[in-house]
Amino acid sequence: MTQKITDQEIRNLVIERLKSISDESSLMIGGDKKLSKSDMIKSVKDGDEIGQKIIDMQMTYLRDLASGKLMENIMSL
Amino acid sequence: MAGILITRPNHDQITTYLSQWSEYVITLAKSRGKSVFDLFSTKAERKYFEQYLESKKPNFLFLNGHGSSDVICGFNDDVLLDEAANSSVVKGLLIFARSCNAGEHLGQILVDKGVKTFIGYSKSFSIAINNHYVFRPKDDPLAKLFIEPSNLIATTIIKGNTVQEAHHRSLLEMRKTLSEMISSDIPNKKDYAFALYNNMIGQVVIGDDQAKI
Repeated sequence: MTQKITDQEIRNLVIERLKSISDESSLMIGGDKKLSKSDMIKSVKDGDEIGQKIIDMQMTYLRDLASGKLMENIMSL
Repeated sequence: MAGILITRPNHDQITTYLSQWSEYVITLAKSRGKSVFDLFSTKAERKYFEQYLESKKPNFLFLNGHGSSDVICGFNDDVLLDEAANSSVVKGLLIFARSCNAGEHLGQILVDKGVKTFIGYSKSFSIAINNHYVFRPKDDPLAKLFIEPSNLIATTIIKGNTVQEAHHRSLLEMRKTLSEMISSDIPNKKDYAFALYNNMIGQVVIGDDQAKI
C-alpha cells in the first residue's frame, strides 16, 4: 500500500539534507539574499517564500533522481 | 557589424558575482573583434540601455540582473525589459538573459514582438558560493560550477555558433558537473547538486534556435 508523504515529512527531509551543507558556503537564489545553511533551514521551518522555493528545488531533484528522470535528462543530451 | 550589449549591474552580491564573471565573456568578445557595449554598474539602467539599443544597434544582448516572469532588470532592479518593450527596438535581436524566471513568460512575449531568439531561465537561477571568496568572486571554485556553464552560452554564441549549439554545450557542461557532484564525497560539491539541476531544467530557448550573430 502506497502512503503519501506529508508536507511535514517533506519539510523534515529537506531540513535533514540541508544540515549536511558546509558552513563555509551559501546559496543565492536569484534576487533573494545570500542564504547560509541556518538561513535555509529557518526558511524551510518557517514555510516562507524562500523556504518553499528550496523545498520545490530539493524535491524536484530527489524525485527526478529516484525515478531515473534526472539521469535520463542528463544522458539524453 | 555585430555588436554585443552586456548589462552588468553590481548592486548586491549575486549581481556582483555575475558582473565579474561576465568579464570573461567581454574578453572573449573583444578578442574576436566584436564591438562590445558594456553597461557596467550604474550604466545598467534603463535610460542608458535604451540609448545604447537605439544608437548602437547591437544584435546580441547579454543581460545580467534580477528578473521575474515579466521583467528583466538592471542596476538597482531598474526594469530594462518588460511586456511593453518596443517592437521596433527589439526586432531581430538575440537575447540571453541571465535573470530568474524571464523565460517563463517574458521570453515568449519578446519573441512575439520580433526578438529572433530568447535564451534564458524559466525558473530561479541560483549560484552557490564559498564564503571565503566573497571578495574574490572570480576565484570562487564553487560559484564556477554554476556560472561557467551559463557563460558558455554567451561565449558559444559570440564564437559564431547557433543558439541551439550554445544551449546544448551549456547543458553538457552542467551534465558533467552534475555527474561529478552526485558522485562526490566533497561536502560543498554534492550539497548543491539540487540547485544546479534546477538551473539546468530551467534553461530554455524560445524562437529561432538556429539563429547566430
